Amino acid sequence: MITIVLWVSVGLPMAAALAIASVPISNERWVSRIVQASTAASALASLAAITLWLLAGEANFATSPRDLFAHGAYRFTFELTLDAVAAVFLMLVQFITGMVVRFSRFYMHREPGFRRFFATVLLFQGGMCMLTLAGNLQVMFAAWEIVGVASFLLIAFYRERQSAVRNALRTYSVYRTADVGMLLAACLEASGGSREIGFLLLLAAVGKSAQFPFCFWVPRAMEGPTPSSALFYGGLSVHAGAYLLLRTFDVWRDVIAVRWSVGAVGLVTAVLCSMFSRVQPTIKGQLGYASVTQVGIIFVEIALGLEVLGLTHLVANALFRSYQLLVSPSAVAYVLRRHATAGAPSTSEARSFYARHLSHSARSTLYAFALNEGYLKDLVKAVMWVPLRKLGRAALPHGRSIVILGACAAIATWTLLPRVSERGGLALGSLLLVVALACSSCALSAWRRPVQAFGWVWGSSVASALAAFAVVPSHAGFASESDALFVGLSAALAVVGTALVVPRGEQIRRFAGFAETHSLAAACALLGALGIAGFPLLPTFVGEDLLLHATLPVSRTFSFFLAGMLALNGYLAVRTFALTFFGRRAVVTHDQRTGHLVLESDGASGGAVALRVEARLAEDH
Amino acid sequence: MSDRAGASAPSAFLLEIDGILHRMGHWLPTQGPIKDFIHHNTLHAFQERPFHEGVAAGARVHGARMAMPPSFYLHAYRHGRITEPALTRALEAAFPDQGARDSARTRLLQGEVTYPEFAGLAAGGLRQAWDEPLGGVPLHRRSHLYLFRLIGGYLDQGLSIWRMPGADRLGLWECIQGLIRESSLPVLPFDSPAARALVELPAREALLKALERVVGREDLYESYLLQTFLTTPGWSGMVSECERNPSQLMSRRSVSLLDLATVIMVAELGCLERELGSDFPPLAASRPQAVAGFNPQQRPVRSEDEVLLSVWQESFEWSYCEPLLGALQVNAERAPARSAAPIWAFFCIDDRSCSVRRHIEELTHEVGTFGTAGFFGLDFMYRGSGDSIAGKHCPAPMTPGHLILEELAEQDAARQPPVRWWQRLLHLEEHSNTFFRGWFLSYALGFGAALRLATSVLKPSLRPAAVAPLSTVNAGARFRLIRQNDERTAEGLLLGFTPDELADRIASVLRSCGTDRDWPELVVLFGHGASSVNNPYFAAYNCGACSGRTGAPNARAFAKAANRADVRAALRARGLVIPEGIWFVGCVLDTTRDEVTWYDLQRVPEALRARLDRFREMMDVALANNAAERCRRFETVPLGIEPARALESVRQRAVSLFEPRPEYNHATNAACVVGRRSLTRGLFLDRRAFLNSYDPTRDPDGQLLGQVLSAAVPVCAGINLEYFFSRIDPRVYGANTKLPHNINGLLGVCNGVESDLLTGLPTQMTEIHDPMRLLVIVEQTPEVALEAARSNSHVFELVVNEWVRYACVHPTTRQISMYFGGRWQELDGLRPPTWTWASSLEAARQGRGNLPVGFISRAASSSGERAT
Repeated sequence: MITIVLWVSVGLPMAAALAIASVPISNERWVSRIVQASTAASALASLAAITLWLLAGEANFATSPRDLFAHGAYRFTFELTLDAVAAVFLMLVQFITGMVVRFSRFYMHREPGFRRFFATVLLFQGGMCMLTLAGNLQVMFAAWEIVGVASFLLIAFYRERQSAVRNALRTYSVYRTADVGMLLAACLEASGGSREIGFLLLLAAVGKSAQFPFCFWVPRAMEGPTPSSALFYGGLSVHAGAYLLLRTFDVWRDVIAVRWSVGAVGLVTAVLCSMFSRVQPTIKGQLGYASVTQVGIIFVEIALGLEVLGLTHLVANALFRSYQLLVSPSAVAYVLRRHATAGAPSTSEARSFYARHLSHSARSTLYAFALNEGYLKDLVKAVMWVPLRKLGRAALPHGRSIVILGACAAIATWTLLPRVSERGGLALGSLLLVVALACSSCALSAWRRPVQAFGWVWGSSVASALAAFAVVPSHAGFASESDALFVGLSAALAVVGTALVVPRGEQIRRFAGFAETHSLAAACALLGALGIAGFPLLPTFVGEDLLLHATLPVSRTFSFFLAGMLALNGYLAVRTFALTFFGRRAVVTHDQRTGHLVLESDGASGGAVALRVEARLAEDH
Repeated sequence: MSDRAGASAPSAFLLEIDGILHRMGHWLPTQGPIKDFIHHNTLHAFQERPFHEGVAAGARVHGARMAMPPSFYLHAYRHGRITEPALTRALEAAFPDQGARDSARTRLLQGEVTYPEFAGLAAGGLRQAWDEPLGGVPLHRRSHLYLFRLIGGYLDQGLSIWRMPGADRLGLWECIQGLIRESSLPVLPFDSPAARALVELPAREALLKALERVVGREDLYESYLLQTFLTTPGWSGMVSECERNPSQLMSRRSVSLLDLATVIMVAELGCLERELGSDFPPLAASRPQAVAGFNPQQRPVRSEDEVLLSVWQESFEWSYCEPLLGALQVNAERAPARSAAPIWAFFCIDDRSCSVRRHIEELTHEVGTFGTAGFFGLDFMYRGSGDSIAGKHCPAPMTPGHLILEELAEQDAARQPPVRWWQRLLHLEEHSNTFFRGWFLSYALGFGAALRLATSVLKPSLRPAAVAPLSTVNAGARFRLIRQNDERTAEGLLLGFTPDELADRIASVLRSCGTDRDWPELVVLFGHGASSVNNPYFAAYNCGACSGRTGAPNARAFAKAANRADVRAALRARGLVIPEGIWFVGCVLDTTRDEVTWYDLQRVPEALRARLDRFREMMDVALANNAAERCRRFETVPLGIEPARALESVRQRAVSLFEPRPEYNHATNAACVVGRRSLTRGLFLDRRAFLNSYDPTRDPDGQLLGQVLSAAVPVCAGINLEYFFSRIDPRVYGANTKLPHNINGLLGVCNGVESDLLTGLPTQMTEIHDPMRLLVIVEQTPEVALEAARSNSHVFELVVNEWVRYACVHPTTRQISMYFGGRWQELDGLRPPTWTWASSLEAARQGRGNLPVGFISRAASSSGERAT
């Protein structure tokens, strides 16, 4: 019985999301009816599950594991577990989502993208329920991915705005970094030591919950409609990392090094972000950092072993920040009123330690540090992206040589492999990984020609799969083949999608905005990009798992880099998609005589929107 | 001029910099802090040119649209919202040649007009040259990330907890200089060597050096600077506006465009050096043939598509104007000129009052309704009993010299509960964002927040997150209306008015409305305001004639003053006799909630109580009907809703946190009628007209008309044109959708945390608006009407350049003339509207879109009865 209601609470929102996304219902009322009904049903199912579980009086309830996929020693097992922590978090998820959905029903009225918004929110709700109830790390990783993609889509909800898309990509890049930890932890779950799993989980949690050094993405993610910001960055998404740590606390409870690290990361984050929050001149920026500050403290509480306190804090903070974000448009009226009753506008500042006890230069230093957000964004960029971009710029002109090198390495792998030692295999595999990295860096630099960029991502993925094969030919044969096959299919899909809008040899501007005019091609390319990224509902998801599973017993370091490559390629695929399809439809022709720029498709589409609205008004006459 | 620059050859640019920056301020948006949102013409800078030319120039400068898309007009044409005669008329005006006219008509109707798009100076001018070396990312996309937080941090009016050190004492450049000098950590992007070196210089020299290094050719400096400002119109406009009028800021900041220019140029130098290395060539060297792009002072060469679109626009407007003018011509003959009513009700000229007046008149013959600018002629600053700052309660161009204080009587003040600590912990308390207090508060308030969230989503009521707005009137408090002495406050304001000053103002209002004789028993003054929650644009919903605040204090003050014996004596001395026994009552109408709050009822004479009570009962019915009419615009409310339920629905709407459209305030506004009520009484104008009372028979020389126009036209045209431009280009002229908006420094809104301040109106306010210029119709002879318009240069500029249309109805012959191309043109053969509805409620059941002008038979017949 509990099994069924648990399945309903996870599956129903996702099914509804799929339905809404695929069936073009133009009537707002019907969309919102479906959304309200499925949200409510999911919440009721969760409530029923919790009630039944309480009545049963067991410490935890687990559904019987169900192997969705098995090959050799590898199994992808779907199981859901309900225990005290999960029950509390599940109620939180359902409450906040329910409220936000209800809130948005009127808030989003008449907004272009009404259906898209709710489809994404439902996807998020399903993903969040799955994440809460996940019975093992594999299921959790799948949910983790779904939540990440939903997050990306909602930050980039106003896809015609460059800064929204840019920040969505920034968030997604951090999520992908976190995924490396999560992916490896999931693969090591059965075999690995608690120490390494602990650190990998910490990496995952740090990215998702915007802890040091990734604090900078939360305020920047406040680009979507206010309720979605409340749901994700005040409420649930940003607490997912802390929840992961709570849920897996038993795994790393006894490893002192991990506990120290969790505590240290949390403390540093809390101290830094409370400073960053103080200098933010925008209300959402301030609330975003305030939320992260509290998540940092929750990390400390968990590290100290105060699980109950941590969980209470988590719930309270999620509720509090969601509400604050939802009422953030009241800030002008509220602060004006406060100043009006309190007298001079800056009294509260005047009483602070910062204003009273610090010297001018100390204050300036602190202010500069906080205003630049501890230089963390620039630091991460310099470490993660600048070298890759440099590599890409250097490598792209030698693209042909890279392809030839890759082909040689591939042929060498096929022909030599039965004869080389394990060490030789590792060397070949590493060479292939280097080729893959070169391909990825080319993909980073080749965004102006999206078809080519997808080609590079595909090449990189195939090289990675081959690398795994080179390292463990016996086990990874099937894995590499299937992964290469599925990635190939995804890449083909993405290439077709982009080729439909950008003919070969043509270049695009940054954020070319083709989704406005070519929705089918956009859907096609998005599906392909998600396939490359190993989105859980697509077959490549299993392929990635298989690869890592095969290589982990041989070399942990190799697997780490392999996981990194997979995560990077997923990001690059989504980035190429976003650069091509998101943004405003670019201006293409320039009339020299009058000095104005004309674009037919743009005018036509803008007109079509206006026409639709007008037609609706006319019908009412 | 500094000595150092003087030692070398003084740069011509440096000598002229002040003048240059002053000119630039002209092209930037003039939107002040959002707490005093005041509607104004978005393209005010182009107002001195003919309308279509100004719009074309604006589109080229800002990279905006110049009209709605062709498909919009084509659709309107196919559905009869652009009429055939209107199209013919517009074509004839634009194409004198028959052949050209025919081919233009074909192109329009075949949909062969492309929608012109302009890159704008910021994206399409000199700065384009940086795109290529920077890998396709425009320079400003890099620099703004740093600049906005610096400028935002400096100007912040109270959102951030730590202020930029020295912000309250120093100018922007000095403050940033200080920050960089004092800080032991770098301030990005001023960490590059070249930028760091310039930080030591005073603003002018640093600016010049940065321009030399970045641009490198003196004749390009001015265009480059303007284009740089236009990459961030929101912040530049805010700085320029605050420089012009620093008192708008609650926390004083001494900002100037010069400082802003310096900060931007030095920061961009830093960015360039970071990206391209320290030896990058200046713009003039890498692009010797660089073209400055469109010069805003120059006359734009309009393409054929633009001309055709303006033909569409003209015909769209004329399709509305013609039936309206036809209706006014006929209606004046249908209704009697004047009748004695026992009650007079004065409303604001606001288009939202238009329907309230109609609903009153449909219910009763006993009320004469009038419209006058909602500050009722009383210009003052007002400070409510709970406020510590005073707000302006008169139209934006006026500068009030008086301050009115509201004071709680001593026993009331004692009864007021003190603000308790837990009340201050409302949910946007800044301390909730810090480390320890945030920790504590998130525990303390987190679960309470859940409760609040649930109640505010499931059952909206006024309690959660509702914050009392400033400048409200406390019905139990006293007004300090009459001045005791001539002492001035620190701001140079006089505390209250003398009876003579009040009498002057009251007389001018009553005379201009023609209401200085045939007195009723009771005069009611309706100030207006609009209550909304969770809405940063709250000021835009309030009374425009009170600078975005409610008209409540003005209505109350007017009534109080007019009831005073000393004021009446002073009025008598001015030849205006208010008979004994007449009583004035002030109140405020909440246009969102359709609710009236009455003031000083206990002082109403016993004899009039019964009449007032009947009036109030009637008002309740009228407002419910009004709510029902308003509801037809809200798609979430069923069409044809019962008045009682409509009232519930609009009141719920006003307190719902999740409602981005508490009301549609001025959307669909299209006309302004200055004349007697007989012109418009019994006409269904669909809440699209500003109605200003004016009696031409009392004003043969047009002096009163001149006063009326100079108060009404700038306000109404400002509203109309702001809606116009925000509608045709919500992305550039407007603030686009308000759903993702983020409050920045209490100054304005932005998208996310790294965007420019957004100017104009959000789409949620303008989406149902039909963009058309205001048609101002005055009831007066053409000669007098022209003379009156000429008496105010601002009004005349709008009229002559056709930013508003100007028409007059002859008070006796009913001949209608329109002002076109510098002369009056008599309009003949205007067809009266064909629609007649039994009542406004029946009209409101017709649909959600704009309804044609029509007659309401109930009101018309009743007034007809009285005429006989």
